[in-house]
Amino acid sequence: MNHPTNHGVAGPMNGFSEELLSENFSNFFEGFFAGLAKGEHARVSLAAENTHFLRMSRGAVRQNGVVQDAQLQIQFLTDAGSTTEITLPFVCSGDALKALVAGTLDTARRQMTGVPADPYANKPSTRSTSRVAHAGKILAPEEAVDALLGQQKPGDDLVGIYAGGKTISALADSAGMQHWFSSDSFFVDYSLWLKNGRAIKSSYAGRQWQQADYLESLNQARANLELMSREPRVLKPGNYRVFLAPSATSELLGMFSWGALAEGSIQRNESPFCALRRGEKSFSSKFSLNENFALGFAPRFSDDGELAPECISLFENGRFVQALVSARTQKEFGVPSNGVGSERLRTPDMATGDLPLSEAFKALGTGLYLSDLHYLNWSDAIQGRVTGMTRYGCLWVENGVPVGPIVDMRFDETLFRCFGSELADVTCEAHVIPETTTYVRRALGGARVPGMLVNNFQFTL
Amino acid sequence: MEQRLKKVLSQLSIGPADWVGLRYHRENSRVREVRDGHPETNRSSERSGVMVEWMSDGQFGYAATPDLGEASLLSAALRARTQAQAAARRALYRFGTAQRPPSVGRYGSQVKSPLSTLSDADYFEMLVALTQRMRTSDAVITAHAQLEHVAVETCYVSSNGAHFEQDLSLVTVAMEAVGQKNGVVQKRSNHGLSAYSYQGGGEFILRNTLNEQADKVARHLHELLDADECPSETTHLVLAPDQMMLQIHESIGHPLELDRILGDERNYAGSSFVKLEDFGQLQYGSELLNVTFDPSVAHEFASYAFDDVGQPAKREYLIEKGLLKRGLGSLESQARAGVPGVANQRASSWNRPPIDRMANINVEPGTTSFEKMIAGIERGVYMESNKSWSIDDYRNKFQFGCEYAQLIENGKLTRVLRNPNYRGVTAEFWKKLVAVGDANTLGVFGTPYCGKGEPNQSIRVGHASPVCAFADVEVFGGAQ
Repeated sequence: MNHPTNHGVAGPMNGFSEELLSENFSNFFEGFFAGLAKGEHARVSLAAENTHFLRMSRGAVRQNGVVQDAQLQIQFLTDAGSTTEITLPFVCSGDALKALVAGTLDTARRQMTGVPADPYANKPSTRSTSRVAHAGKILAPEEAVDALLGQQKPGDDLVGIYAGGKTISALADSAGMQHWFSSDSFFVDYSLWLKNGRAIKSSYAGRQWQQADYLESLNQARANLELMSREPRVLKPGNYRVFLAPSATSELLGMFSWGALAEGSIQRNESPFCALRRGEKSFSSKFSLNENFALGFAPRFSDDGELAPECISLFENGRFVQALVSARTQKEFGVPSNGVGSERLRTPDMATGDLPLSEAFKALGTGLYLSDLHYLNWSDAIQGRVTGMTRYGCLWVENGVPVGPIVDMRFDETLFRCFGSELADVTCEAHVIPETTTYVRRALGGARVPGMLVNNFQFTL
Repeated sequence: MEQRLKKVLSQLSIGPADWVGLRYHRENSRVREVRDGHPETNRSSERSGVMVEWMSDGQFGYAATPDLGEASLLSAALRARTQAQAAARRALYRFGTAQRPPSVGRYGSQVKSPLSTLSDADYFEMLVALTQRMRTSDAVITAHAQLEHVAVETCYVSSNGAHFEQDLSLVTVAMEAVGQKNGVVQKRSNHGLSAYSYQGGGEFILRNTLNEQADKVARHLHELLDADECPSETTHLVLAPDQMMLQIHESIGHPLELDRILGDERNYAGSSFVKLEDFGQLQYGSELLNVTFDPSVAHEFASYAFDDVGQPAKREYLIEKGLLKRGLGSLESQARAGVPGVANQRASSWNRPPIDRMANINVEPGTTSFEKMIAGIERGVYMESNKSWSIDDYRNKFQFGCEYAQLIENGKLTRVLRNPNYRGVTAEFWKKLVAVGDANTLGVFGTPYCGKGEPNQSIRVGHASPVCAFADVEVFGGAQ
């Protein structure tokens, strides 16, 4: 395959131009759709990024580099029910692009030969268009090292990663759907460490880099480190009253995307939320949750060609309103789709409550302040039981006063108790938790979550 | 590709103290997936690109691009140089060409039977049949079978004369069935999450072998639906190789990674309870414990001849007779830490920089037959196939769950148990190793999903182990 060089504007890496990518993407899908025979249908999506990754350890640069990437994904379907999918690098234009269109059509048809029909595949059927471009101010790669590490104080042991640049997600289908979402954005996901091995985790994310805001984030983390210098408390396994800070709440909410909230899993009896659907278990009236694309963290369209409404109510005052339902599940089980594609939360928005965050210690009284949780997994998926660890700035609190850090504990607790019978209060402020996952590519998304006060939380080790 | 990379290299103006390397990585995968007799996935995927690394003033900068044109690669090289120069202002450590050896050679997976002999239709027919085979009664709610083949091609050249190429052929077959009876829901798979993963070809998808696995999945699933809950007690625990894989991975592999010990992973994957001064000193487990880093096992999932910076890979003892000897650290980490390591600086793809990873981490066989091991236990639990894993960020306090278990009573395997879990602390757990199975009990497995690094990387690893027995372990069942 010929790979002519793109000509683009300066960014984290030269040769990456949103305009040129958009033009080439349009040329590809228009050519591809024009080549479809009667009874053939297709979706074409694009995922691209131009990202500067700066990895830091012990307050210095560990690895520093830039990544330019663009991948096309083509879903090809026929009236007879045959389907196939092709993913390939997208770097060409002009004649090479025409050759790519023809070659991909041939490959798609070849890959479907003799393959049985997929009865739950969904052909493109609706027309809709959107174009969202979030412009921002991102650090130039040459400036990032000094901006991130130049203001350190003696003894700062900063570990983490800065990722900044443009991400693009786009979709077109042969029924007329066309969507484009681009965003200049960055995050610094970091922790500050003391010599005793205790740390505070924090992050700074957005679309407009403001050096003063980053330094404020660092200063707040430094201030929170003070308590961590105290002798850690060793606790015995047992039940404790806990306050889950927004980041810890977000970790627990993450388990909802491990099959729990997926309608397909519920229909196959693999989800703990089957018990909610049957009315055998319930969540607290203090718990409400939306999938809220209005937050602007992620596009409403999915690679599967679905378009979600701006906001989907999932739990309302403890009532299980609906699960995440894809078009595929709709076809298989007859439950109406809510346009979410993968049946995982991409932009959860948990409702706030009445407890001021500033009164969290006082409301907790005596117990554990859990800043962060780590490595969650089902210990009994069907029963909604989750195990995991405390991590970073977790504190022992006595009579409303933080005493000091704890030696990390393992918990084993059910979602039904955390968000149900044991949920005592929810904070009236919610924090934005940026999506910092970068497997294969920078993920789009984020969560807005409050803190939670939970009466009894079981620790086992 | 070699000629193109060398041509680009020849056009660069590289200072006498600088170094440049170009790593081409192309990965073609084919995934076919069937649920309950119907195709769910029929996907081909290509990911390819080049990462250019430039070392200037003792620092490596990188730039990665999917555009393989010469102009693009030249541009990437200059960007990599800029990043190296920027890093040098606030560098963690000053590296040199010793961390990028001029290795020359090639490696290829041993493939006995090419996968191309079967058509797409053949593969789907096979997968449909497997899901039908697992649905042996109305109690089976759903059955799923997936086959993935990945071909990986890498080519590496550098300004100090390195040139090596590696071609991998990787096969994973995953089967799983879910059943329900009297309100009990259970899941059984062929060895846990994608553990049936090997380097090779069609020899790992023989119809008879896969049929036997599907039959075992269905048989065990029905046993589990009628089984008692795993009891809660402290007792002997016997782990099958497909659970030892996870135990080795989480509580030996990760804690021995030197970059974790050096602190690089503290913000994401975590640190380690192991300290640099422990190498050569720490009694990690009982004297029965022998663990190797072995990238030379022919069909194990993570075999290779060179890591992604060119260090020749060879078998090394990490733990011998329970004593910690060597870390999982690359040439970069070895220079920083001053302890011996292995050839394990690996990248998940062309767009991620290489970091310390596991490859094949294996527990060496002992001398006890399976029959003798079970016969020597008055009471205990035998567990197979991982389904849940969680461990703290220092790799100490763990809790793992398995799909299938049997009670051991008076030297015999008796009742089947559902929802088996166990928990422990790594620093104590391996000292409780009381029996290591002989070579007849050895199982070789792998996984495509080991996550780590910032930016994140998921990489393939392999683990081989005999059946092993541990004393005084806390086991327990599911929620009531």
